[in-house]
Amino acid sequence: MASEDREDMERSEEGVPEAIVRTRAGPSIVWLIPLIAAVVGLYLAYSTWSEQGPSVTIEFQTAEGLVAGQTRLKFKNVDVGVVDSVELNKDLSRVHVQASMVKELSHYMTDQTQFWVVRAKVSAAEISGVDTLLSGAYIGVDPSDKGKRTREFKGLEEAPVVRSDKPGTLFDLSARQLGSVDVGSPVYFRWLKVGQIAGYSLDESGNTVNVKIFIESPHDKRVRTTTRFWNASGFDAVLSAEGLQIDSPSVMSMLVGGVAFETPATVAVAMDVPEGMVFELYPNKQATRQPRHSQQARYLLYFDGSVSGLVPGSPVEFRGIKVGEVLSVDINFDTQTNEVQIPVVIEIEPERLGITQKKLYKKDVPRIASLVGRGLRARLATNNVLTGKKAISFEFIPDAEPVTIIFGEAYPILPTVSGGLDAITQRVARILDRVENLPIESIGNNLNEAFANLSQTLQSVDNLTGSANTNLLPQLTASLVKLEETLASADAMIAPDSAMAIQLESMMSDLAGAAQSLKLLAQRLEEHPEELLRGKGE
Amino acid sequence: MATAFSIRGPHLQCHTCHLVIATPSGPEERLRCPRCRASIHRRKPNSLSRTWALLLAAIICYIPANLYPIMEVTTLGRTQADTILSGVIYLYVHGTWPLALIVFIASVVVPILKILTLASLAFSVERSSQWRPRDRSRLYRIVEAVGRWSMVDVYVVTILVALVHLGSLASVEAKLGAVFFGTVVVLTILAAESFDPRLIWDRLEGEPGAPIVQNGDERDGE
Repeated sequence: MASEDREDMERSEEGVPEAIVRTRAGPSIVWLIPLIAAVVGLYLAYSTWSEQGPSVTIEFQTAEGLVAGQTRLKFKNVDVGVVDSVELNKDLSRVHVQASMVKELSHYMTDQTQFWVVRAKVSAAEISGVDTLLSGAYIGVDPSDKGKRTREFKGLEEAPVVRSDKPGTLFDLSARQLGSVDVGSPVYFRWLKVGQIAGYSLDESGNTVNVKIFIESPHDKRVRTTTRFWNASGFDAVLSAEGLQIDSPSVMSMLVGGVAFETPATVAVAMDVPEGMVFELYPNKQATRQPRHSQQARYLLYFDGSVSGLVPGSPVEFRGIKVGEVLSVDINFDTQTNEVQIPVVIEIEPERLGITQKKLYKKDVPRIASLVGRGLRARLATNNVLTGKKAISFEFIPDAEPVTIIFGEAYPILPTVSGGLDAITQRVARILDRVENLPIESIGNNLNEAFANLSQTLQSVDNLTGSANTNLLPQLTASLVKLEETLASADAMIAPDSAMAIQLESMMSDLAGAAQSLKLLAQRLEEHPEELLRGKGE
Repeated sequence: MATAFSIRGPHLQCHTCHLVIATPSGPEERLRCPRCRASIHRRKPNSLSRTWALLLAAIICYIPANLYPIMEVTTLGRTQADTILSGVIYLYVHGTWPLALIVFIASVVVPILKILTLASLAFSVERSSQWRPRDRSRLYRIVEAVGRWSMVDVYVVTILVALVHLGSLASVEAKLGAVFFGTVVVLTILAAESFDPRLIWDRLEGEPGAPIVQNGDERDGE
């Protein structure tokens, strides 16, 4: 503009005045172009800024397959973000992935939100993420708006079993051994897949493995307080009186393992599972019939006699029902007194007796004392006659000597009584003692006297027979002669040529004649019944 | 130096058919060539302000042209969006540095130099600078000549988008950055076009200090 002004001025300086050139007032239209450019630019900047979601940091073990600027974050296979940078942390132990999320997810960036890398995975159980072979790995997101807002996350190495869009319940199991269970292994109910293994970890004590399982809704209602879980990998063969029974799941679960559950009919009432309840995971279905319990009380027993056949694992029974098992069998030789004692540590599960109280043997001293006072004693019993296996059996012995429980050592010591073979040997010895005390000599003398009396008696019987011979025989002979005579006369009477026989014969022939004429009459009447009324015709 | 067509000279020239016309006696508004009827100006109207406006617009557009991706390549489901600079870096990292150099010069160096050159030319005219007028006009000629070649980038993107349509195997899509880059190129061409290089010489003539012109002229000539 300044130049134009100067032009005008220069012209006016000339001698001859000229018409003033009208110049357009205000800025030129051309300035609209940068204005439009600026407006468009500002609009773009604003829209980009307003669409900008939160930027989050996710920590992973490895950045395998993650590329800055390319790797996407997906939820339900919808792009919800992109990886901005992949960096190592300071001590090089982890990978920090910086990602920007879409704006819609800014309310879902809480500590409950989960991130994991989806890569192609081929296992016996499943083949997943095949699409990532071509397109590259992506980060799966499971957004959750519950929990505390955060921008820093710990990425999972495996896709989580529990996701916010899949309703269901997590349950805690405790197993002696993990078995062939793996994360993602199926959970069966009546061989129907209803869930998955969510994870496992070693218990702090190192004694058990804690397994978390996820059961999808609505099947999670099938789990009750009395439900029993068992490891359903492998197959279960039982040889019983009914023959060989093989219980085997599908080939799939034999390969990949799994957990099955069932709610058996029990005395205990099935209730809804309370928070924090831990179920026992049994090694097989057979084992669920002898339930284990979380509460164990340990006791010490001292035996004097032989305990051959008693091994760790032998059952502890109460009135024939298993309530626990033997943990260890040792031998103690007291060098002072030269006495040998056999300490046996047993473990009893009080829940089997219906006692659900915790820390039973610490708190329940009076109860045990009263039981022992009523005669509760442990004794060795033969469990199996063939194999000679022993068991420890608790019984109430009414006339037992009163004893007290000793709480001094590691475990309370319960009183024992000798039983089984020990008791039998003692009883046999007692019988033998009595036999020894019997007056066998006097018995022999008495017997001798008795035999003498007997021979006298026999002598007199002999005499009696002799007299019978001389007096009775002649009379008997006479009687027989008379009988013979009587029979002879009877014989003569019924001989064929006797008068009586002849008379009988003629009488018989008359009777035959009469019968003949009766027969004729009957014939005639049958042919001419009218003759009964009219008389014989002709 | 010819003074026939200078700012106060007695003659005008038609831009289109180059006919020399005598200065009309009346006001020099809306003049037409008597031969081809093209409009005639002694100098390009509003030359400096147009140049400034277009340059400013180009500078504004250059920002999103570099920040937004210019194209998106999808290969086997893997999508990669590249801005100009990330494309250059990509090419350099993958070993084809000559190609990276070409793209860098054509897409980054040239537009920036063009904008800077035009801005300095316009600024020098505004300040009535008398510094090396001949070199400055040569600079202007270079800028004008180079202008159209800046479109190479945009052409590459257009050709790729048209050619690479292999469905899910590979496809190329032009993005917002390409639009702005094209706008920058067009705006700088227009800015160069609206700048009147004769203004460089007008300032030398018009200023009272004529001897400097003479000196400069002589120096340039020698």
